[in-house]
Amino acid sequence: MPMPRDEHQPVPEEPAPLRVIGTRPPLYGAVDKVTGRAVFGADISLPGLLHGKVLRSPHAHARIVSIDTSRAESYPGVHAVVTARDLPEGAGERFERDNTLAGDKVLYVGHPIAAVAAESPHIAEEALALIDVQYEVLPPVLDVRRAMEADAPLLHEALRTWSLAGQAASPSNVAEHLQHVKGDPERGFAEADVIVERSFTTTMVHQGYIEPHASTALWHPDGSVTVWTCTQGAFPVREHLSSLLHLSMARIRVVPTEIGGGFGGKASSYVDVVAALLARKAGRPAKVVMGRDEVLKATGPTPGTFIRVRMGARRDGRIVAAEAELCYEAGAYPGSSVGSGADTIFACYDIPNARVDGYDVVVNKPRTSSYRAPGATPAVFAVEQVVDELAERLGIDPLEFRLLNCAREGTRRVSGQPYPRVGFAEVLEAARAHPHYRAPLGGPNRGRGIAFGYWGNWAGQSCCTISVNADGTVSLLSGSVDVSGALTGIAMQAAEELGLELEQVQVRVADTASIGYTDVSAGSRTTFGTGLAAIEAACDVIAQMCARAARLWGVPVETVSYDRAAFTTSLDPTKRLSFRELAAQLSATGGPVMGRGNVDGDVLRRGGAPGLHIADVELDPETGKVTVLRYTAVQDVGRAVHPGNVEGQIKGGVAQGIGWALYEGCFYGEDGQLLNPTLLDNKLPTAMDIPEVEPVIVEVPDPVHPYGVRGAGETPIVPVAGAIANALYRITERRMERLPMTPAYILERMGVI
Amino acid sequence: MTVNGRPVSIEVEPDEFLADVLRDRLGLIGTKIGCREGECGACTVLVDGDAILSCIYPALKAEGRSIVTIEGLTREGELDVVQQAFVDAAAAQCGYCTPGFVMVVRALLDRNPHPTEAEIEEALAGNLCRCTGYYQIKEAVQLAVERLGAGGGAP
Amino acid sequence: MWRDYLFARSVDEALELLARHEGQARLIAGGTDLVLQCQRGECSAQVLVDVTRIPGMERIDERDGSIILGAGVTHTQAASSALLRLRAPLLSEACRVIGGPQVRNVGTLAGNLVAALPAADASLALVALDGEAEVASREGRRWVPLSEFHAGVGLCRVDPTSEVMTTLRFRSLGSDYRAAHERLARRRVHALPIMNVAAVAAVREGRFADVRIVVAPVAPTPLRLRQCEAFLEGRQATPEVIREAADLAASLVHPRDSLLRGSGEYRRALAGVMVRRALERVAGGEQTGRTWT
Repeated sequence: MPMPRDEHQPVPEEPAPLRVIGTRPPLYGAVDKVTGRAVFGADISLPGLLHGKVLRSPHAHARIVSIDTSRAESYPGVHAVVTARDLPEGAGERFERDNTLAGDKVLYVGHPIAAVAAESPHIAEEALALIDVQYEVLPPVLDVRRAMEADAPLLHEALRTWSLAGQAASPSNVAEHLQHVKGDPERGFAEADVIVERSFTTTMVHQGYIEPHASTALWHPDGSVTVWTCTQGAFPVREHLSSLLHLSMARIRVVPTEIGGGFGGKASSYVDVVAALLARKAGRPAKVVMGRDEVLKATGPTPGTFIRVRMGARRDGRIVAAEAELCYEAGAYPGSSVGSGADTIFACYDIPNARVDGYDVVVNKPRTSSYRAPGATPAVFAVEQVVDELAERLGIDPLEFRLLNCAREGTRRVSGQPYPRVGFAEVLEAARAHPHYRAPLGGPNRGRGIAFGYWGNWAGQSCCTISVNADGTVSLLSGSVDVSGALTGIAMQAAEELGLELEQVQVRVADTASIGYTDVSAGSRTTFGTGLAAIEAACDVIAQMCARAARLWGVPVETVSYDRAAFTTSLDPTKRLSFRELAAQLSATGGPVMGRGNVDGDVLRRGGAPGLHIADVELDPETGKVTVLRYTAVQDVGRAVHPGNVEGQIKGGVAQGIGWALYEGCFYGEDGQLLNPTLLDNKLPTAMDIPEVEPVIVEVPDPVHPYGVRGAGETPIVPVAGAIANALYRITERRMERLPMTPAYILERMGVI
Repeated sequence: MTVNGRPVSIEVEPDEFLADVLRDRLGLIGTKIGCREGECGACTVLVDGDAILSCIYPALKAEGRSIVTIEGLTREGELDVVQQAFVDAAAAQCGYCTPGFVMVVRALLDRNPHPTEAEIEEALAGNLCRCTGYYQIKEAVQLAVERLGAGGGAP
Repeated sequence: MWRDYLFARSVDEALELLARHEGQARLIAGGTDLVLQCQRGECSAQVLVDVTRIPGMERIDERDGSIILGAGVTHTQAASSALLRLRAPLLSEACRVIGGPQVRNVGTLAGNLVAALPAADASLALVALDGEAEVASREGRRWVPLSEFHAGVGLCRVDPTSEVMTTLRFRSLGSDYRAAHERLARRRVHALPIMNVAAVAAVREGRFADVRIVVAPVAPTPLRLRQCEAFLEGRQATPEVIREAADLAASLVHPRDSLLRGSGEYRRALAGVMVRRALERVAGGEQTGRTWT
């Protein structure tokens, strides 16, 4: 329960204004980062450390006929070579195992097959070349729709499509067909005066975090292991290790280091098990650091997609029916973000009749993973252009059209749940009132587009402990890894609840042996969910300390209350102890005070974060080059615990969205080779490519959180591609049906080439 | 060579790179490696005052030269003007690119204490940041320029 | 990768070290291209001979109507040289956009030429300026015109295992000369461009003279559009003439389809557009080098 206040405590007459929440203190860890002291994944150093390198498949699809590691094993300086045979029999889920070290097949270029631990990275690389693998090369399938065809090459003989009808009888590359239906779409379309249907294709994109994955493993004489890794979630890594090594969780300690960007891509484990296997076999600690090409080829980019959207509206402006088909690349193993794509695609709108079909399709590419609001960006790129087109055909202003149809509290989603309180209309109204919406464009070949996006924001499970120090400061231990300021937000909530200054709160990130299970820092849940845990721990501390005060004063605990950093009792107005004063007396009154918060946020019906973006772009009609001139991102964040941090998340998300919209992508050749496995060719925006982004924070507090926090980190990327596409339409009068919208593609759409 | 003001003498392999020598041999982990292609700038250090990419800079090139890494900017526990500006402008989110940016900004301001906005953008063009969108980083540079101009902190 | 890293203190010593290793050694200046080539396995040199400590290789002078640059001149030095900014802004501007400041600080123009990447900016400008390189070998020294310098992707007419570039030079352009550099890349800087055009010409009494137009990457080497240059020679610098020249330019280039850089058709159209724009700027009186978009 997030608000464990004692019912007997009198409610203060005037709630104290917030002192910490809403301010902009320096972020936790900032000094360590600017001085280079912050320890990231590859910075771990241990005596006797060996260096690991991974042998990866050169083929996109092949059967492994044989692996001979003998020459590598006897290479001077090599201490261990591992393959899938070194994994315990039957350990882990089949797909998990196979993606750690390949079993009988390799399914993408870069698929890990074996690993070597040696005295130096150099020697390890040389030894990789001595591992002999015989392959039977098979034809790859690289396009999501081709993979769905009955005669496409199959990745997994045993894969059968799961759908509402149960499991299919014959093998397929379609792992799942999900479907949501609301109302009666056929009847809805029959009522429509205008119907628009379009299909879109988007390319796989990598999250582009600057720090490659790195993991260091050290086995202890008692058979337990410590693993240092840059991860968004130490606990899921522990589970993964436990499952694949057949080791109990009590024998595993995962220590999360600082993480140099994740955006969802470090929520999965790639080299942790390999590091552990190598270290165990070699009898020495082992570190595996991925190279940039390995990161781009063999981690977890976001799916490429094929999306078809059909929507119908009446002349009065009401959308009456909608239909979408989403085909998402899962990569080599099932589990793409098609589910959340299907959830998000119509999320902003109140549509009485709708059907969404989602297909999770395997292809010979790396297994896809989450990238900031997984699955949402392509879906919103598609739907927002169709919505725009409907508005245009009906002669209604695009923002007004969205206001007319937007979801509100109580609106039932296509996937079934009704919305709690969420600021859809508030965001639209704030955008409409913003000067950007009416500002003159100021030149030829310029256009303005808007897009409306939503991300559901996960809650998850979190743990926090707060220990009271004798000098009145507290030590907060967070089960969540810090992602870009979330930890500061958590500490601020604790400080607020405790009535303390932020400087009095010491913060640390725990390892898996030091605190209870905490889900990954992802899904825009960390400030929200672990904040709840911190608040609960703070309330626990206050309750314990109230009991101490009661004991000290010899009064019933129900008469003791805590307000504005002081304990008082209703029985005697002269009795007053500040937090610090009471903290000094804890040892003498019963011992240390330690509060805990362990929260399952998923039981709460929380709402997510809607965002409306306005983009002004200029197109060079001869070269197709797009320049983003001005950008405004309006978002409901519930409550901005640290407004600077929230603004930073919005700007960062928009920057990523611009790269995704205009040029980023993982491009594959026909043989399944990634053509751009380097940063040289997989370009990320630089300081010269991003315009000023103006974030506009709207606060419609989420009622399930004591401070109204929603979570803000993911929504900023969602509407960007759609807003830019809609702006380009104004200039070119062509809908952009492909991502990225490269100069060549735009000219093609215009018929210039 | 001299590293952060101290003379250093070590044996290195002919094909070892400066970044690895700094990190693995000298324990200076503040210099980060993002790509080993010279594309991301995270490994930027100063050699005789010039910003260079240490991940593709053969270590032997540094023979006889003066190297400054991120660790060399802090003096007696005091943050350098650029470092402080990065903290105050909240220019570090995940922080992985931060040392590289701080070094390139330090090199810029050492040579050109009054850069124009265009000059700042050009100077930053060799460093990638995936988290911030660069806005706070540019703000940090402006802040450092202001403070240097006001006499706050010699290079 | 390489087993020895040596420093040469003079050109002669460099030649001697190269000769001693009989094709197994090659020169390194900044190394920003060479190191990547070695990492990719495209360069099998066992020994690297560093030429950055040879005294006198960083000069930038003007003498007898020519601008002379030592082979050790870096992009940063070229970009900030007062002489080049005044007398050859096409080159100083091209040197400003390459890579990021870190790459420009160590990368030399000579190295850029030798790396022979199809779209390299400094090379483009030097070819447009009708530059030459002095190459020293055991047999003596010779001048190689830069328009004939490139033999293919990664190949140039200097043998980096036995020859040393010492100097670059080009005739200073008179005050009636104009130059323009058009560049299109997916990001504004620090990117190999999708298309890169340099145009230099004198405009005398409203007519083009001594025209040089270089385009890249549309072929393995930077391409001088000689037919286009010949077409423009002596013609009025009018929009119609320029448009005709641009169409001719587009017909002269045959870029391949590239998944990363765009279809051949797109790139051909682009070449035409950018040649037209460069010529318009030249005709319009522009002295300086660059727009990049």
